[in-house]
Amino acid sequence: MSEELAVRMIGITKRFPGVIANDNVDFELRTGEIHVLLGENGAGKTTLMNILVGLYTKDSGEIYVWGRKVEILSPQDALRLGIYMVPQTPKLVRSMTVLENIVIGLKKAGIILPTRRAKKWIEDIAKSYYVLVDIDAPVYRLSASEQKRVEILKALVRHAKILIFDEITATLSPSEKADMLKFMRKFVRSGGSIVFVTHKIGEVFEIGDRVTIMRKGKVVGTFDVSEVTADRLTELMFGRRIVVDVPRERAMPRDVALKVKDLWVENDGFQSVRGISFSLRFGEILGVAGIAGNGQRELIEAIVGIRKPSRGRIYVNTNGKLIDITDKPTGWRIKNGLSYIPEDRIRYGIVPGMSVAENLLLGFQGCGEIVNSFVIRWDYVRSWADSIIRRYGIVAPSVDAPVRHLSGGNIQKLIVARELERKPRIIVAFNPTLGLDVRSMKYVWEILIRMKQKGVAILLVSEDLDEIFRLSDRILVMSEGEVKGIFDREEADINVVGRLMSRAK
Amino acid sequence: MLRFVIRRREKELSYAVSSAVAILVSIILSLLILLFFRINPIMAFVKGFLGPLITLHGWASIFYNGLILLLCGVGLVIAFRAGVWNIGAEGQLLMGAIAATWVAIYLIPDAPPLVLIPAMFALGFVFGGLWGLIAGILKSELNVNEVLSTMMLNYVAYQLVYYLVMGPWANPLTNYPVSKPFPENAWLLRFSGPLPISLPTLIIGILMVIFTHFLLFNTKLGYEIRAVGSNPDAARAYGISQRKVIVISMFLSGGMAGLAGVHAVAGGLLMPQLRRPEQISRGFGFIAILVAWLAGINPIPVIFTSILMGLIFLAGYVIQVLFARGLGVTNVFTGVMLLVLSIADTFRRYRISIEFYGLRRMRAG
Repeated sequence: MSEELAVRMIGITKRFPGVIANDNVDFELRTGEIHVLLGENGAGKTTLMNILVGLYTKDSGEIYVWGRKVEILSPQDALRLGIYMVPQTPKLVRSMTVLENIVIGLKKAGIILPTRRAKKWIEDIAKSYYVLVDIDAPVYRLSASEQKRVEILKALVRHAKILIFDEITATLSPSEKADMLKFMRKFVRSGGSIVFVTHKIGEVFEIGDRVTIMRKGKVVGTFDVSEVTADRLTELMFGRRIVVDVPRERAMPRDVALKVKDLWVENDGFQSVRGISFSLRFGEILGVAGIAGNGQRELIEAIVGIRKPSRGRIYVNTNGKLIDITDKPTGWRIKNGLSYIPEDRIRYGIVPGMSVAENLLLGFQGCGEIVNSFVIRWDYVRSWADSIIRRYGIVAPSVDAPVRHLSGGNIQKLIVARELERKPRIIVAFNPTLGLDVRSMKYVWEILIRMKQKGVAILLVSEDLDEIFRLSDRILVMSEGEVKGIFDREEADINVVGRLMSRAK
Repeated sequence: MLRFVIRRREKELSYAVSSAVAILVSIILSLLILLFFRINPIMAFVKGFLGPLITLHGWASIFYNGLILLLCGVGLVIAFRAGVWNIGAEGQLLMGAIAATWVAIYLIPDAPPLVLIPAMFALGFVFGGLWGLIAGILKSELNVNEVLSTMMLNYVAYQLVYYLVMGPWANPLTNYPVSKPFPENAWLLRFSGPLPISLPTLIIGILMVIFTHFLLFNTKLGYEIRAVGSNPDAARAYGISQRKVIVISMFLSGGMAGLAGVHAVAGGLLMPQLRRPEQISRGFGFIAILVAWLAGINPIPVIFTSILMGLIFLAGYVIQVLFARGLGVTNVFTGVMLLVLSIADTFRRYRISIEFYGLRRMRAG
């Protein structure tokens, strides 16, 4: 491993209105290493990397690449220096093939259509780096992880020597993660360097050679991975030892709140949910464990009423009786006590262009208490919204501020607050703490526990096994759209559950 | 070597600023284009833009155009807010014109004006609304792209008007493709006194702006329209019916264009009668897209942008007649404005700097 520096960033400072995202940050990337950039959400890791690839400009500081001082003003500049960021969500043209996506803007590939030689060349690169993907398949047919491989291939074809991975493992299964790791090792062995951005301490030891920890816009330490412990990293990352301990007590099983019977749900012509049955009782949390993309999204969308099941029934307890709600619209379900905390907060949870108050109103438009059947009384709504943001400790300039100006954690608090204000009897929570910092995470967990104690039925669908084991009373393991097992928490073994989750793959 | 660096603004410029700059720049650019045809831009500006402002007749024409644009534009605001790209205001307008003709000549020609005129507007709204509704239902039920369906419905309406004025509704007294004249009770200008501006349309126009503002920002339905338009996924997840929003917004949007159609046939200085489609509208339904956009898709600013576009449209027409017969000056104006406006929208959201060799930096926008 050569000790030559691929990237050296000195004294980088970047201010956004009201915050210093990077405060005099130093960062070094050696040639041939995988360098993990670790920190909470909002610690400034992504900002720093965005500066390196030219998406943001620094306010001050210097950047050296291969020992030469550079000004990087656009992603094109960065690419010219061999720097490429693999985006969190792939940015590909869905209707085109993998090959076409890769050669977009590439002169070498031929003027009109990718030539046979270009194709061979790309396939060779793919093979030599173990990045296997069907090069003639249209992108819309690829899974999320295959799309990530395409992004990596794009970088390789463009001779990128410095790759930045931003939270890329969030949706990968263990075997996909292993493939990714194999590629990364190969890449750095052949002279490349990788910055791996993450907030998961576990990944530092799985993946990294060195680790740099950021907290509140500053670098708080850089270590060889072999010289550091997980406890030490936690301490550096959060500033003090945070023991996330949520009180729990055994559930008092009551009546069935939600019953799903032989449910089949289709997505894009594929049966994503294949004959699932379970029941959820009042006063319990049923955790659904599974790797992303095994039918959880479709299951939830069927329960909430955004997706029509192809077969099977869904029942909800209304006034003591189980009522078939399979064909009821979403609005009806909300009115009858169903609350939904969606996974992708920005896409499904809020309307970014609207104000805080207007977003709190979402889902209340059918209820008659806050909004009568025709006219909205804004005075009333605003004072109502104001009392909510005070009660739930949501940090917002005012109820009229656009919701997109709030931080991720506060957006999630807003969604949780809104869903609790409905006085729900059933809560469906999908990855409710994904991407949140520890404090917001604890906040959400405590609220879920409190609601459970009040007798609310909670369906917690999460990819985070730790979260599932902390909160659930029973654990349902889902894989390939099927139930692979249901356990009481006390009897469940994390290894057994983990194996069941990934057995099919 | 020079190159452009584009970066998102931390705070977007307001529509008022970007629209004002866009209008100014596009007028100047359009006038400069006239240089290629040996037309003195200063003379063109004086005659085209200032000329109409100093005559009664000029103001009448500005308002005649402007009110058509106001009604179409405010209707489009509703559709655009719902995220429905209605580009069929032209066809919906023509349907309103057909409705007005039907009411005035065939349905109740002998009714007093206080019955006849409201009936024309009411049926104009319904016809235009139904024309929009077709595209709305096609979208909500069969997921047919509304850009294509509204566009094609324009042609259908166009041919329908042609058919009527050449066939069943043709005036037997002349060979021109026109209907019989409307009865005097249906002439909108008869209430206007010395200033030849259609009072009924003015009142209805202002009412529609107020109605739309109230609808969008103070009602449950308007909230749902804005939510669907701004984030359909979240709206759906929390029980807002997208189908309902699409259908209602297309009906209202088409209905308001239909009102414009009534005014277009019955509210001008020309004899009120159904004419060839290109004489009724001359592309107002498309220019209204500019009007709504210049207004930042807000109802109240539509009052100003529509009258202003009414002036610009007229100016192009005047310049065309005085200096450049056979040259489509109005098309130049609207075309340039469309281009400039889309560029202005980018400047509104992004800061664009030009750099030479990465050394010196020039900030623009």
